[in-house]
Amino acid sequence: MLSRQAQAGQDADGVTAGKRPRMSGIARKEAIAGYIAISPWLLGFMIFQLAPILGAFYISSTEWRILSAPEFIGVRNFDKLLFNDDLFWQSIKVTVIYVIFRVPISAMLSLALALLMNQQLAGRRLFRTIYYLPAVIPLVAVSMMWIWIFNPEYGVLNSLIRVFGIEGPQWIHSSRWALPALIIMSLWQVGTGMVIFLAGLQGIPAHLYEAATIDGANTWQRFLKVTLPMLSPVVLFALVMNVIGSFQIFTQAYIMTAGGPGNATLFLVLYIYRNAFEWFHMGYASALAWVLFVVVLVISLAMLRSSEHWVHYEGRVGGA
Amino acid sequence: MKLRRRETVTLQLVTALGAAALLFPFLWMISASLQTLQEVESFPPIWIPEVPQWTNYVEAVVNYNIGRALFNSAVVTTVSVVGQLVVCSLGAYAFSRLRFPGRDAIFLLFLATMMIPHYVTIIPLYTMVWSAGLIDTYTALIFPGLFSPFGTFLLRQFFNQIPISLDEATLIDGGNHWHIYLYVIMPLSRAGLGALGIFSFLGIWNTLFWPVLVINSKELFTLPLALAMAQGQFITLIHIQMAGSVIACVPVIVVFLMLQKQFISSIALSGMKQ
Repeated sequence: MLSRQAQAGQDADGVTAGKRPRMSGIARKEAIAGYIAISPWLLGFMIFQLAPILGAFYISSTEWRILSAPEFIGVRNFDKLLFNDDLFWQSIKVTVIYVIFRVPISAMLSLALALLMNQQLAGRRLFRTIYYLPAVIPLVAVSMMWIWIFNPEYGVLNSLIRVFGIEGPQWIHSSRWALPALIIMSLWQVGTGMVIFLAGLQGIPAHLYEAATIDGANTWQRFLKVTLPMLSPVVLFALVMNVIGSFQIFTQAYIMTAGGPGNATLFLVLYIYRNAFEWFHMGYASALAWVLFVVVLVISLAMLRSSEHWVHYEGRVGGA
Repeated sequence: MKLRRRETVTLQLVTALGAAALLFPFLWMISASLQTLQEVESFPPIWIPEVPQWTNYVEAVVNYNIGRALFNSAVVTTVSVVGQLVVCSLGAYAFSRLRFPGRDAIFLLFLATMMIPHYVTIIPLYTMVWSAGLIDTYTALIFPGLFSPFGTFLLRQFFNQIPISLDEATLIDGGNHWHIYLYVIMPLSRAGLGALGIFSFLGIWNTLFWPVLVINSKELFTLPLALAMAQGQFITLIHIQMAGSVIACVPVIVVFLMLQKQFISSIALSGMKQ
């Protein structure tokens, strides 16, 4: 801090003494080091992030079949997807259903697991490892595994159901059950949420629980009045991250169902992929990608907005 | 919170049952990878193969391209993770410690673009790689991932926590800015570098989307891509597919078990995964 002020003072002196801002030798050395240190990243940032963003703006306003030159068509891509493309609305519907079911269910499961892991149970570390493990392994391998678990004839899931004398559904081979199957499968990877919640739980000071107990609160009241409010910022964070991630589901559908049967699992990112890389409608696919971005952005902002009513921040008076 | 004995036993039981349920698909994958095709397709399912078919693994590696893909994934992941740590830590160092004209403007621009997700930029990125003639190269797999905005941001946050007096001490002792980077910032940011390393390892090892786009020839398949293609082409060879899946999981599981603490703290730190 001291040095920053000293530096600022020095800069100011430089200005008054030389009429125009001149750098001292030390400052110049620092600036040169700065430019050198930042240049690999900056170059990469401009080529692989900035240019593609600008490019994506332009491409979304063109009709571009990659082999011929792009043709400017204004907002016609957006016009088409909003008013003239049933598959787009199908993909929105499928994706939104997936998010609506997956996010809350997995949040509740992760919270339950985190509460369990926060107890003094024997073998707690081993269990934590087991619960978290499915979240780190490659999604492709997970998908391969679950294809056979969901296999209607000799898959383990249906043979388990058969024990009760019921014939299980066709799972990913049925247009009715494919989407629920992918939601069930996604719950297998609740470990990420559990770890985030667990870190939050461990940050809650013990004296709050002690005070609540002295005031005569039982376990359930302590959970409602201490745990939940104290955890709410973490819950908000986990929910927003999960919504953003869930909207981008691709790999499972690409490998397990190819968007089917009958477009029952045609998620938005898969539809973007098809448009761009199977049908080579680069312009239209870019427009779809922007729409997905806007949808996710609006939902995230709405969640942050709503959080004023239910997220409790320590040290803020009058919080919910 | 003290629990009564009865409650503890119940919770213990629930925990164990849940863990068993989660392990179930794993165990099935390992078991199926050691069965004959006939055993995999039998009903009711067989859990313990009569004779473990270790040759499934040999076959997957030799005849179904998994060996080559394992090599490719190892090369791409190693180079990407190391490269990303170098590039991002240098960038973060500049943002966090070095004053130069334009720095804050660049940082603002950077923050503004950080919200834009991958699927928006991937189409222009693909067309760039395509028109540069880089389809089907290691360069296409590795290069675009080196300049992670998230990584730079994460490291900058870490670097900002290191007291600036340490920089001054180095300068007073006659060191320059590169000494500060090498001997002050980097050694004190092991946790941050570890977190970024784990994120990018997981992300790059597991990713399918980008390799699907830029790789066509078998020789350059990464593991996820090779598995995905096997699922399309040898759809009936379940035992081979499961052997391949196990091979793809093993490195991640080994690294996870070794670095478990860092894994957990890095996920808890930023919660960015998927």
